[in-house]
Amino acid sequence: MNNALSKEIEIGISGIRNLVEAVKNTHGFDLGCFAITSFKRRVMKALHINEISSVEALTDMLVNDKQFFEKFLRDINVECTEFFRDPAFWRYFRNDILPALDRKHSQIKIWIPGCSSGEEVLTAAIAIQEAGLKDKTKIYATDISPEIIKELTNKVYSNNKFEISETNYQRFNEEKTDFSRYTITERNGFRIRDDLYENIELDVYKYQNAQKIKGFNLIICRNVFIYYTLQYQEMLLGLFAENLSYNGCLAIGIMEDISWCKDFYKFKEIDKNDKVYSRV
Amino acid sequence: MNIKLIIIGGSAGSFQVITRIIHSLPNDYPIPVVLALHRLKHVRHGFVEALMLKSKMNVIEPHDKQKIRAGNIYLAPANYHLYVELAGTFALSTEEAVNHSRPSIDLTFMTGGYAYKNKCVGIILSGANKDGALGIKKIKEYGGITVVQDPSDAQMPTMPLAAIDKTKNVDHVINSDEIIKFLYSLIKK
Repeated sequence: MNNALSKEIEIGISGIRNLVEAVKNTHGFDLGCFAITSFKRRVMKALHINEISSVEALTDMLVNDKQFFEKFLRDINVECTEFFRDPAFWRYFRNDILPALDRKHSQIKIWIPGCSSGEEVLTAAIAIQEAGLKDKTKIYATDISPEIIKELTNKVYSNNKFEISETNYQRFNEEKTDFSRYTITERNGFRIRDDLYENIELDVYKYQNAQKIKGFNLIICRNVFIYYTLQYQEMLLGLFAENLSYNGCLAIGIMEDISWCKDFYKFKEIDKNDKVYSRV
Repeated sequence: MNIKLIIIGGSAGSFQVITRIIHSLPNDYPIPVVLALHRLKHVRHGFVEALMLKSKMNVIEPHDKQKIRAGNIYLAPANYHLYVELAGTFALSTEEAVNHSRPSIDLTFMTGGYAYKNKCVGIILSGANKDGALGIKKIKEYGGITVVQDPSDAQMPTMPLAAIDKTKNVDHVINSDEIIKFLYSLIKK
């Protein structure tokens, strides 16, 4: 890791610009939506994984090989590192958000965009099952990468995620039960029990050419905004405003800020610490 | 000299030094200070408040894409990497831990050094690991000023020693009193 780190910042801005431009022209996908510093690191990671020596060579491959481009979208993905990240948020989800949704709706529709390696989705699924609301809840989980969506249907998580997830879960659940009741041990890690996938629908969703999908009661999009430019964050918030039903909730990462966006007036803050907003 | 950004990295044994340093800075200190410190990832609150008690400057945990401004001390939030971007803003990331650390001192130093070049100062304090060594080396390469707490003055000398070893020609290896003097020397006309 250290070795990779020592090289990574050396990629020039102009090389990145050319790559973004070339991909946009060939595949119609604007990688310029990504915040530059972390995008550079992820391009570096893609170079490393695919054993490519320069950004120029990578650009050529991306332009000439559509399949490689799809794989690249997977390579630059940022994995979640844990289940029940920010236990305080998930307690709020369990104690406040879910009961309110339960009272108001006969069917609860949740969208989790940018679901990446799936921890947030499965965390939500566990909390929903514990609340006894599984049958009336549908989770729509999307990502821009088809490969990621494919992997998620039978994802094996590495064992080094277990310990932190267990600690988080204990904080969430006030030590009533163990996280391991939801996991199945595999040779190279662990899976989440199949029944927790039953109300999850996985789909590829590219915001850039997206039409409105459907009215959601809740959008959970935590630590996704941080990977995008301000301009794109603003577009995303507009999209979320369109796709939330009246009084629907939006949860963002605790260090993310949307208050400057032009569509922010369409939201009301309902929890300051856990960054939960309601569509007005 | 015209320094525009000061980044301080610290781990075990650095808290006392940090509080002494920030306590000594006046509320109108004209250079923004960034603190990249190893901290408990699940403890969200309390650290800023503890620093605030000691500081005349405003202490904040920056949110994503927040503009860097003078008069503030910015503390890298728990469980995020803190990047400095060319636009003079912060960016946060939940990418994997580097050297078991998130925030990674290396990443804040490297990105800060890249964005601010010779207008950047990097300071490595006490710590029991080697995070920050690569970062401060990069600050040096980008033309910034490098400062390391004298290992004999540090509670945990591993981090200062690693920084000195990796960078080779650190500009100042000094004790905490001298670090404070150094910070004042940056603003003398």
